[in-house]
Amino acid sequence: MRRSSRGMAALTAALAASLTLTACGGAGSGGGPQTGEDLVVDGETIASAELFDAAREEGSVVVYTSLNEVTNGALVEAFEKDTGLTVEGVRTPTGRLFERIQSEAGAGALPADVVTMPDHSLFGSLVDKGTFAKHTVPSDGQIGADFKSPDGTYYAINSAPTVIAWNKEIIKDEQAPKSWADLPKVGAAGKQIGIVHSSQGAGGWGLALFMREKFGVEYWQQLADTKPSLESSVGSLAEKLGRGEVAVAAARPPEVGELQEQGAPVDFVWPEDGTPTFNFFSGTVAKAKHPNAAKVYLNWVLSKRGQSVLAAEGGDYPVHNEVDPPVINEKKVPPLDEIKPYLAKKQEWVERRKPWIAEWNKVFGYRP
Amino acid sequence: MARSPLTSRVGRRAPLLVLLAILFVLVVLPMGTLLYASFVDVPPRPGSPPGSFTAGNYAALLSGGNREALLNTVVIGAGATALALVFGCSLAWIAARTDVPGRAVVQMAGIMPIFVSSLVGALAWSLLASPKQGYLNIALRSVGLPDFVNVYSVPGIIFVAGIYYAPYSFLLVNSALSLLNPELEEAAYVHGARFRTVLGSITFKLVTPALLGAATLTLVLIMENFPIPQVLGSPDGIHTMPSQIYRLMATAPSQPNQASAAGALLLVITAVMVFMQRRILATREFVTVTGKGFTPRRRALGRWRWPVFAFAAAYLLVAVVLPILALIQSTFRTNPYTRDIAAMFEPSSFGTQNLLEVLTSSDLQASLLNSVMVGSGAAVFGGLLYLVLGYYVHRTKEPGRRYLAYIAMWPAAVPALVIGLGYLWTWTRFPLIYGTLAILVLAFIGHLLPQGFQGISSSLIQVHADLEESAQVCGAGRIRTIWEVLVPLIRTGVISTMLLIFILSMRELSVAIFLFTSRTEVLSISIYNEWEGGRLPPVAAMSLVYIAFLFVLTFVARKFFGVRNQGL
Repeated sequence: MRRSSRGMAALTAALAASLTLTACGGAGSGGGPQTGEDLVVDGETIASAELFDAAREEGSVVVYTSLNEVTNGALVEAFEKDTGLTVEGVRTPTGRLFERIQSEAGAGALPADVVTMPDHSLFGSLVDKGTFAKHTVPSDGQIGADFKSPDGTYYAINSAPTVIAWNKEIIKDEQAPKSWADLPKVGAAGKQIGIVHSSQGAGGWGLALFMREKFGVEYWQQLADTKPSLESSVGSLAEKLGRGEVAVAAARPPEVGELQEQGAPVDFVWPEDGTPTFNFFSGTVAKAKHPNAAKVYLNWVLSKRGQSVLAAEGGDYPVHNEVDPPVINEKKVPPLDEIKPYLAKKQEWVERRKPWIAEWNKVFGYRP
Repeated sequence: MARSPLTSRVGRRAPLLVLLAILFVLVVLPMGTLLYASFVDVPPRPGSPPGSFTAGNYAALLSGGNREALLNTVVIGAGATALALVFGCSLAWIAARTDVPGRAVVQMAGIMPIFVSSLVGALAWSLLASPKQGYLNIALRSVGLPDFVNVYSVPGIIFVAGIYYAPYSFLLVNSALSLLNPELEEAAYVHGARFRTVLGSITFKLVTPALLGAATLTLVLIMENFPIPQVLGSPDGIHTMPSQIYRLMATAPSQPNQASAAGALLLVITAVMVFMQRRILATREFVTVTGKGFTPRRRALGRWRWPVFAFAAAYLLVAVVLPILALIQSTFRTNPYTRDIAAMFEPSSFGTQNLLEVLTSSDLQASLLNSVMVGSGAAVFGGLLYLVLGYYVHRTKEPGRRYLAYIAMWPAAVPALVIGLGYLWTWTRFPLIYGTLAILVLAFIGHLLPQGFQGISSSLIQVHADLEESAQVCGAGRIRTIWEVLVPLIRTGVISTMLLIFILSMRELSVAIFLFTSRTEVLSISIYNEWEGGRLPPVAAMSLVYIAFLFVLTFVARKFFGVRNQGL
């Protein structure tokens, strides 16, 4: 008894001691140019010597993002290697990220230096509250007007398309839908269709908005009649497609490409009748604790180098006009203007959202 | 030097005031924020305007998805609790009071599902029994039973929740049965009572406090469980209150006020249950452990020995073995698609890259370390708090005991998700704590208060105060009495409780989901985030690491502390 209680006391002390060791992040791995030099990557100037030295003084940048894990991981790794600055922050799906930003900003304690997330409504409400500082990146001239904010506070950093994908073991290639118009027919023929529900962030709402704008409200009804599986994330939908739980899915090319790489019997088409596309936006926070590092980060993400990493690892379209579209599973994807992209205007996106999602829920029998 | 009456009254009240202050910060404040939020039309985020009063959040609870979620919560709660009690109590009795062969295996069966955790259990059962391509369905299809099992259904959720919550009944009832003096049972046998009568009228009556405690705790825990309905219910649109609350919070735009109202409603339901449990227990005195020594006697099962063992083994199979096999299958598969049962054994579809990728990733090591630190913090600091609280409530005649005991049960009624939200809204003002591991430790201590308090209380209740009183009569002071009489008697219970808190913290997902940062990401969050992103192989690989870690931990604890036959 005595031995054990002494053992317990020792363990208690050890555990308590371990708590006082706070989790110290490793310092930057020392990339980037010498002090007093511009930061130049792949022949493009990303930061002046003055800005970069100031950023290096700050040491790290806190990024709040809802990019997926793989894409974000690749960005962080390449950025840290190029600059020697450390990236910290939070990566969660958009809804949770937005909730956190609102709470932290409300307390006047938003730790983020940079916020990256999609969705005109949510990101727009942060913009309206004056969350972001004006900042012009060096590559501004290579970025199309569609991808810049009217007031100079943020940029779109990529364009994310949604396509039609299918599992070849469940449905033969020739029977698979080639257009959105085909989709309800295939579903009516008894093949399980999967989509992301409309209140699930930018992808879901963007798809619902596209369908209604393009084909009218009857299309929703036809699709709903096939009893599609309503998923809560594009990732889990892709996983179900790969396993064959659903036959056809409105999926994102990078996820389908990853499934193909793993050997899953899946394929996708660029639908003949258009490709709904949404953007992730990124801005530097006005009250950032690391304002210079934030600028360097955004400059880098929108540079040729950052955009190439985003295209290569994220599989989405870059916004920098000198960077090539991504290659998915060794196939080069067609340029953006060839896939008939449908990019919703901010006003439609924001104004129609509430009434149309309510209607969508009714049509699809989705109980919010 | 005589103290003034006022100072002495304050002095006497000091322990109560300190305890109340701690509970206020840990429990009342976040819950007050929640209740407030449920009655106004503006989210309770710091810096928001106070908002104006509305009953609309509660009115919305009666509509559509919310009403359905409420109904599902009740049905799943009742069904799964019944199942969990049947499994947990049977296994507890078999392990503690029979001559079953391989008792160690039965003991393991009773607690092992706790290593699996409801998150990993639900993920694994989703792999096993998803309606079309679950591994069990693929196997059953080959024998002509297509689409045979479907875990994405209410019965499926009841089944999974039932098997993963059985260990709670097992832990509480097993420890009570092991401490039970067999004299009364023997007396009944001497007077000709039959086995069934003794079991029903004596054995289980004597452990009624543990049994009722287990039932209430299990029901409340299942009703507030988030991972199981989220993983298994959301594919088919089956929601319970917690997954509905998450949906209200995680979809855009979020509806925190309605989510708070849903949380408040759940709180009322459980508050009523806890009240009823206390009313029932208050009518009788349940002292089963006294100063007298005894040797526990085990019931001879005769020809039922092996069938009883088979029951325990079957439970172990569905709760632990099959899920682990499914996780192994998923971890080592390179191709997500499985055509048929032959493909499950096709060597070309397998590889070690998923596992290697996970094992060598610094993210996994960081999140494992975070989990360990948060778990240790909650176990050590939480354990001390629960012990002091338990002692004050059960061993002193000081005022305010009932209130403390009552407040300590509250967090059980609040969905862990909402506790996380309450902490987010309350603590963002304190950057020294917010965004660090400390906020997670605090939130876990608050969230696990009912389990910790009840675990320690049931040890305290069973040890009659007469032993301590005799020590005091013989001249020992209060501290010495506690240290030399009470602590040795309840040591096992306290250590078990602390280990339980550690393990529960290691597994906790819902509390942390709104509180973590990239530096404080714990393992459960890493697993959930990967699942939400649809990346199952790393989910499976991390889950295996998780299970292995918890298993080794408990094994070492048993060896090191000689904690035996106490569940852990």
